[in-house]
Amino acid sequence: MWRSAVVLLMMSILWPTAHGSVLEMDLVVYPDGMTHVSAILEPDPQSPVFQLDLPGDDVDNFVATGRDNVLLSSSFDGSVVTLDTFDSDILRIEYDIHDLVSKDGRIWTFTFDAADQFTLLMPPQAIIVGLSTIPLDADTLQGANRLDLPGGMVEINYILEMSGPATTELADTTGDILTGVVIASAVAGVATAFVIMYRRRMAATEQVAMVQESLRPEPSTPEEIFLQIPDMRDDDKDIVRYIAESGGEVMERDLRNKFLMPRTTMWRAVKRLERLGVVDVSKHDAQNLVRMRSHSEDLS
Amino acid sequence: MNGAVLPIVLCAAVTMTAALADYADPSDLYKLALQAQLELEIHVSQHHPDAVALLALGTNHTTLILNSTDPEDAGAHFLAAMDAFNAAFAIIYDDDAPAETIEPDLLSDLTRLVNHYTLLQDVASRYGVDADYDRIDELLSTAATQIREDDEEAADTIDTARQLVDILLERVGIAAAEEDRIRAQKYSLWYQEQLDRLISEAKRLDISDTTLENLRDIRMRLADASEPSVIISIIEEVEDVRDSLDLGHGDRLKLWMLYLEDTVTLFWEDGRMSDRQHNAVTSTLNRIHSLVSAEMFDEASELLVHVEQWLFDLDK
Repeated sequence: MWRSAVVLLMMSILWPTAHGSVLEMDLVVYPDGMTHVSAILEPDPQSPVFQLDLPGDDVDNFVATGRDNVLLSSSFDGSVVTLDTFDSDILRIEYDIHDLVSKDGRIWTFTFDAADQFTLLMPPQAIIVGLSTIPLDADTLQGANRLDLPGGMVEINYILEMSGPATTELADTTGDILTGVVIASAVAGVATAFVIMYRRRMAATEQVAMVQESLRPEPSTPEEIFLQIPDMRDDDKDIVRYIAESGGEVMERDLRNKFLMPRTTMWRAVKRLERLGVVDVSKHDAQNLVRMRSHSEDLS
Repeated sequence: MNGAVLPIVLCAAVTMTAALADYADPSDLYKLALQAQLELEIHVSQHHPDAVALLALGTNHTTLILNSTDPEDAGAHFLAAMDAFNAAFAIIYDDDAPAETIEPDLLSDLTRLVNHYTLLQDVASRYGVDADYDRIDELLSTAATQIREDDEEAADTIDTARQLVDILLERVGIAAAEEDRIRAQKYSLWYQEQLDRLISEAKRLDISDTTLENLRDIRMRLADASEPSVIISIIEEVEDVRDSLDLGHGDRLKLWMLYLEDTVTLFWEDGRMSDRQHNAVTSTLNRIHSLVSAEMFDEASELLVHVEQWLFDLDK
């Protein structure tokens, strides 16, 4: 309790108000130029409100939630949104914004000045023809380019190649499977089936999670993993060992504390392990839960 | 963590924040540049000699991405390739591209609405808010079918679904507002405790009588407030008080250290910290003293955060 009694006293009363930090930010660009923003932030707990300057004021579908999925009151003044956070130590915001993409002739331009690194999923039919910064990572998801980009100003020029193989298929990195279901339904002509599947999925989510948990195989041991991936970085190996020692799963925040790594460095390390197929990352109370994959799951 | 290694680890943590730059794998950068190159090859023609030259330049850099010996070189060639391709596309489309405007896309509209609706459903279930989910699901399903069949009714169907989703949001907002009052009052109580402690420490912190009176007044009004907006505005007054204290960065760090040192002593005396850990953390605090004296405030702050976290973990 000393922390709340002493240090938070200092921080709240005498320290300049800290700015909340961005833990994660995912952007999805739609074919019509709108962008979906999904972010998890750590607000300053010493302030009852959290102010956020959005990258534009033409925003739709804004929803802000705190810990335990509490809906947070929000008020807008131009592009600045004020959220009543009170004791919420974690904050999730989702919105769609018009202001990040412009078009000149056939060339579309995505421009974003990010406070921190973020993930960007382009439309599947987009071909990137100009990029102002070197991505931290680049891969594809269902035919769409997905980039991890560093903080700072990023400008991406792209064209939409309508003759591409996936002109109407959309994917969403926010993890909402339903989106894929809806779009796949629209494309494949089985739209009527999705609602039934969706309703069943929603109703049975908890039971499914319990069954999955009970069927979960034992995680691989670190040494087995290192044998399969001999060129794994030493610092990544330390992380793997620690996760194994912690029962096979650990919060990313705890990894940061354990290894005293800056947030972005640990985030990249976890991403590397996820790409290698060593761990899975899922959301738990709006935090990243890092879980070792099991014997039965293939390592890439 | 072993106390003996604490200073070393903490010092290392400070210097390693400027960690090695992580760039994408050169083969991934190559694939990305190659996409642009291939697309440009389709569109470029001899009518645009400058674009042809830029294509050649970009192609050369694309090849060099894979030949680079280190990620930074690969990154530099990637940027150069993309610059060249981008300039070439600008030349081609500046001349003869048909003017295109951003057209509404119903499928994108529907996808966004479904995302929004799914998120709201999660929140609504937390508050036990009900809505006509069957009707919304049916409309979304119908809209998907209509889009697939190029039915012009799709836009209207999406609009109708959106209206129902807006009603859901409104209902959730009402339920959340009720809980907001409770959360605000709980926060207010926590803040009042902090103010009480500050007031009791006023002398030690050299806080003037006027400021102290001000703090007491804020404390009293906070106790009487029940509306979230009023609680917020009273707490914001503390910012003015903070400004009036006129403390420099170094002063604030010293005050922070003072509290951490007290905590270290407290932990050591009551046995929560071993002698070895005490020596280690004292050594770290001495280092912070030196950093503050040398006006290396960022480094000092970072170490203080780590010490604070370490004490917090020790207290668990």
